[in-house]
Amino acid sequence: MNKTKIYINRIHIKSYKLLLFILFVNSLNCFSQSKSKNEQSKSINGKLQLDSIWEPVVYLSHIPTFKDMYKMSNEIIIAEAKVDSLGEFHFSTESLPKADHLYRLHISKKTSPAASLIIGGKEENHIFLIANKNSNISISNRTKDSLFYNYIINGYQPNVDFKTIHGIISNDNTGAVKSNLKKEFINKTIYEELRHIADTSSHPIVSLYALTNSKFESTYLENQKFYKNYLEKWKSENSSYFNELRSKFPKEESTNSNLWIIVSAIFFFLLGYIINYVIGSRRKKANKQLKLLSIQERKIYNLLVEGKSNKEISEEFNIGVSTVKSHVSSIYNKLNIKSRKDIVSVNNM
Amino acid sequence: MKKSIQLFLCLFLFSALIQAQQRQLDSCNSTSTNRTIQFDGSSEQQAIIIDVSKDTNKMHVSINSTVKSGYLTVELYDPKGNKKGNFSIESQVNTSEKKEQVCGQMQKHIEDPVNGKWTVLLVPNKVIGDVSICTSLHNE
Repeated sequence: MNKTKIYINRIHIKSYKLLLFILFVNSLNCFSQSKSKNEQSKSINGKLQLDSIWEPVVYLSHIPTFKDMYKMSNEIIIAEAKVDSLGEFHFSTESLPKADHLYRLHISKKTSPAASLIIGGKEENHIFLIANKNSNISISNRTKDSLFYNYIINGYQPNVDFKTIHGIISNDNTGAVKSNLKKEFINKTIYEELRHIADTSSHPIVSLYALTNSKFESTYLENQKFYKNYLEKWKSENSSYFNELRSKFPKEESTNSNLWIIVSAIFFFLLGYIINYVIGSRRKKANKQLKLLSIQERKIYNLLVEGKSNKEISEEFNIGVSTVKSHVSSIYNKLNIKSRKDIVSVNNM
Repeated sequence: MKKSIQLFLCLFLFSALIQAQQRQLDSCNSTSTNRTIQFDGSSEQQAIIIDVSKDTNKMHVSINSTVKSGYLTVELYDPKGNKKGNFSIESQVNTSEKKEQVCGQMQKHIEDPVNGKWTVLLVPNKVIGDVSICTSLHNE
């Protein structure tokens, strides 16, 4: 009887162990599934209806600055994905940087090379999007006839805002307006609205894109405070997009640099004053010494400065060489010099 | 009698239709020009002028460019000097073993364009390739 009980207990324990093992395996399976699902969701994917003229390959290019938005080369293409028979494509964002950057998706015609850019019209072959390592973005177009003319982008809100701004900028909003004054008015309103978006948007690239296209350079002087506050708001942003903007603003003269200018001005003023004083005092001394000479000695002094010999001086004044010598020695004594070379230096003072 | 009246009416309507079409054709003129510029390693900037008259109310500019080597920037300016579009294309590989091509295309349709001299500015840097500029100006 006891043996049967022990046997039953053992079976119970074994079944518990088995149950625990099954639970463990199941939870592991669930965990791996959720992980792979998560990994799958980090992507730029989409479904495109393509006309037969397009090569079914989507290219992803990195756009480092707004200036490069319409630049095309093979070097900036960072990834490519095939569009399958259902029109679906998929890029993993795992390899993208953590921070948001601007990217361009494009498709080329079958007759054109991979690096082809078409701007404007129904055949425009590209769109711009903001993405990072953890982005999950989906793109789709509505009709076969126009590739990206009327596309839908979902999954990351900044892209929706970016698309709206891009639409405002790219469209000729004044096309149907005849009057130039009205056109100017509409453009002014659009630029003001873009500046408003730039001011209120919480996403740096979206905000900056709006500001860059608002012709802010023309209103910089009127709205200096606005731009100063704007730069202050995004001062922690160190992306290439912001550095491009900062280079467009005139460099602000800081109080430090002002102080430096004042200090250096005072220094040079004092330096000039001292040099002037030293030179002036030497001149005064020389003049004083020259005043000690008699009229005849001054005349001889002038000839000595010209470099004339004792003999030449004696001939000039019709006096004896010995008289000249005595005058010269008197000049030496009065000027406190020892040779003819020193006379020149006294004269240069 | 009835048939001849019907025939007469048909002929009248047909001639009226043709006349209306002719009038419409007479009132709507369009001028198209095509230019192709070849670059053979050139770095010399070129400006292509499009003269837009007062009567022009639609302008279409299509610029197609292919570069086998070098860097090319294409810019479109209105008579006031405002940039209306631009793009750049660059090709770095052009050896006997490996060759690449890069294409850039820009389409601009402008309603009521500013009259005066529009400029397509081509800024090449050691470019081997070509640019074709097609313009059509319409006045109704």
